[in-house]
Amino acid sequence: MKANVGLFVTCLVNTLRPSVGFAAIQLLEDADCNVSVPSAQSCCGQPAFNSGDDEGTKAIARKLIERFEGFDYVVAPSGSCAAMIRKFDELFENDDPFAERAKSLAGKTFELLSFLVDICDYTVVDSTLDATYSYHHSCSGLRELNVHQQPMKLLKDIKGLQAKPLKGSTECCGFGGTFCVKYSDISNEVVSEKVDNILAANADILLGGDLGCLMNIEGKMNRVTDKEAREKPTSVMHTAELLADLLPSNDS
Amino acid sequence: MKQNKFKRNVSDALNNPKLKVAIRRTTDRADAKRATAVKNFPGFDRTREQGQKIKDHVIEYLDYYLAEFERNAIANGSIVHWAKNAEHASQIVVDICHEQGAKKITRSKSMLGEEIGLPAALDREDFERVETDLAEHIIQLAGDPPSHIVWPALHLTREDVVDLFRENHQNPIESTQVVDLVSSARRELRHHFLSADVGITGANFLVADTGQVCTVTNEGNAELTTTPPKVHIVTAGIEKLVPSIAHAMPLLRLLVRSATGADITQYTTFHNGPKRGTDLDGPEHCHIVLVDNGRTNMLKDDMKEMLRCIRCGACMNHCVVYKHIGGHAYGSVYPGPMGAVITPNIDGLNNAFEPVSACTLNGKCQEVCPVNIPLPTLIRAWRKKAWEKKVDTIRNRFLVACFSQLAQRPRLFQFTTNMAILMMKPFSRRGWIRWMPFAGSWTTNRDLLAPQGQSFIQQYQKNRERHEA
Amino acid sequence: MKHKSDELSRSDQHRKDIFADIKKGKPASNEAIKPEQIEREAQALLDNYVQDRPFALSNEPADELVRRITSGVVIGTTIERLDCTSLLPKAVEIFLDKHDLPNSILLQPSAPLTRLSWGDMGLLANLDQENSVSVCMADLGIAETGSVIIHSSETMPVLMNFLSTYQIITVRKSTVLRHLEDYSEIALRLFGPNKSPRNTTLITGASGTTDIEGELVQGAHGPRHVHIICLDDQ
Ligand code: SF4
Repeated sequence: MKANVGLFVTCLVNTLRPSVGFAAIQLLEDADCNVSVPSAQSCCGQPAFNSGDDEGTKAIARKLIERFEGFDYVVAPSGSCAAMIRKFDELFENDDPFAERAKSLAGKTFELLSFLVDICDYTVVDSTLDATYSYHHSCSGLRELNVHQQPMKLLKDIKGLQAKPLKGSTECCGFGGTFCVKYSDISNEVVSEKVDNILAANADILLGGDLGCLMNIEGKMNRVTDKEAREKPTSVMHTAELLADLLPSNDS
Repeated sequence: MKQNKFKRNVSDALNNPKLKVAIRRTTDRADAKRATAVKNFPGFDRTREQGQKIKDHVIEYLDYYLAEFERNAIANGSIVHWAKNAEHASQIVVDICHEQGAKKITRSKSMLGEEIGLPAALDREDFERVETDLAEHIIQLAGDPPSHIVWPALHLTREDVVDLFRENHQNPIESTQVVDLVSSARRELRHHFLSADVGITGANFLVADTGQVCTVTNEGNAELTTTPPKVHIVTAGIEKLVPSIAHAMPLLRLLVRSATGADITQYTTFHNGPKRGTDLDGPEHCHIVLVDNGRTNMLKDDMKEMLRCIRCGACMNHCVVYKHIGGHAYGSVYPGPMGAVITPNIDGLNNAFEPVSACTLNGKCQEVCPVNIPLPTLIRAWRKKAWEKKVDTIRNRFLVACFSQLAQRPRLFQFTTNMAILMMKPFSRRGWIRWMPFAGSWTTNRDLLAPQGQSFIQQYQKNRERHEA
Repeated sequence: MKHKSDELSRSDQHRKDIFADIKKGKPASNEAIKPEQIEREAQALLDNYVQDRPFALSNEPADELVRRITSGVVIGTTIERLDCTSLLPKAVEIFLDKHDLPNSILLQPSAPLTRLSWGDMGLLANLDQENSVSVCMADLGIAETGSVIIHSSETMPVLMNFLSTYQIITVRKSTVLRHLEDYSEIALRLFGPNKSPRNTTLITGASGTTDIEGELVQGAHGPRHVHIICLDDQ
């Protein structure tokens, strides 16, 4: 019996980088899951929750629960969105019927890469890529969901792919959702340091599992290298994109 | 008002290249040393759990332990005072100093002292206040407030200290070496230690079953502050209790490793009351001022976990925001993550909202906190209160409210996404957006990723239709 | 005097308020909890974590103390072992020589030290001058941290630990404890329940500071150098 997985795309992927969503589908299918994408989905509610708007978050959560609770698993290509969905049960009072439903949804919601490794026992077979990479461990995935070893495990099996150590690889990149626009100048300092470290690591690719952080980092790197009128030495990719690219079906 | 002030502080801090250098010289070293200390102590995680449980136990039975501590402290000859708020706490200290006819007062670093405004209260009464911790000595000369709870002078570089000592020390030195600067301070402070009338300290722990007051220092200034003067005054928060001296030990293991990366401080001293009959030295009187100042509110307010804090400073050393803006930008006694949680409780949420808000909730602080305080959760809890009380600007609240309204209507949300993608198109160049209206706070500093054509959902549906057709 | 009693009654009121507010913060069921239960819980918080204390490389606490200090982790501290207390004056003399110090010390006024024969060593009355040396006996040692514990008493002034530039501390091998917690049992035995000396200091190294740019400097206010002499008393 194939597991039925509901893909929660996340609003950033949906808007800016659909390729991450398609990569997620390919990987999940390669891991023998039945993937569905409910078209009436929105956001996990982080911007509201992190601003303290619990009522707003609740309304968002109810919709999401209704839409996704029928699946065996809910998977998102983002640690912070998966972590948010797992927190829904904190929002509802005990006597609210949604409290139970939120809890049961939390139990089956996963970040993509950890889902592949921990639940699907997914492994990379026969992949080769001659390149070096550094990894940015996004905070929510790392600290709320303990996503750390899983992507490393997948990448290790790609022949020819070499890791380059990144200073401060588990430090916040300064994105922080609304933080990066509310405190743009502080965020800028933080991401500048991140980019300095990435450029110093000098890998071909920077990988990570959360589009928010990646677009913050790449956006800054773009601006910096542009200003210095040089080529961007490191390209930025979601780990799912890299893994999907290497699937035999994408051999082109 | 206060919010603009924070923004101003931040921009001053960010425009001060020297500050960043100063902060980094200390925090980078401290972070590395802490990491090594934790690695070398296999029982760290379990001890962290133990420390957390000891603090929780004390907080659970706070009244029991307070009464026990009071009883034992009195039995050992101390006079115990109680203060509900900062003002009263300072007043008690000032009154004692007056009663004793004190002129010179030595003080060993205590964040609680700062919290209750004690330095200012003593200065107002024209006592000669001498800060004896080296860092406090430096910032006293500079006229600055502390910028870190473990290294109060972390914002100053060696070069700043050279200037301050040359201007202020009785026998100024030429050298700019740190070791010579320390000697200069040693000479300067020695005679003050021996000629003070009152010595004031804080407490790292209050030992309930003996009435002992524990201080930890590397310099030895606490003992030099408490021993020679006629009077020793302790000011301590009511959450500082431990059941027994044995319970203080695991907390010491955690505190020192987390603060400086050492296993223990050079001097860990348990003081207990005035000089005994046959003692060869020591104060004649000992007063202990137990201070609430908002702590009991935390008990009531779902902020209980914050009372575990042992003031190690690890959360701020590891905070990306603190590391860039420094302690002064917060505009409060306690900076960084722990300050963001404590300060609204002392100064009111309206005055302390910005630090609560200026946080990425990345969780590093909780990860390094030796008593596992869920700092991000508590910071979020303040944001929730702020939302209910409408503390943030109308503009910010309006934006969040609009977002919530949209996100609870998935189809409308998708429609808006599609519209946004269309709007972004004209500004896209080679996959990036350099500038576009309403995205200024993003695009001033970095490029914005341009959409890859249509939204994922649109593309996905189109693919499926093609498939099915 | 009037002022004083005013203050005390005010403080009393604050005390009442604080206790009332603490009560408000917790469930009423807490009221029924007996002191014995609280004590039991507190004890369990120690008992359940005995194995998690930092472990030692040597089985013998005194060996561990020596090992830690010789390995250099205890700031500004050296250590030597002596077989017999009577050799102490000679050891002190050698230390003074080695550090080019004048031949005079401040000796703790405690019989085991004063009854030794100090020959022509000068005995100081205070520690006012630069490079002064004090010699005293610790009550206990702690292997885990490389510390010694000194109690204030009728023969031990607290300031003796802080005013000299060099401090020589003897500790008897049999008094070295394994872990920090072990001290609490000994203290109970020495002083009885709810009692302690006025001042108990754990000394772990020389006075130091990292207050300027995080750089470690020895001799902040107290001793720049600590020398421990571990006496074999068995
Ligand atoms: S909150 Fe935790 S990490 Fe921060 S100072 Fe307190 S104990 Fe240390």
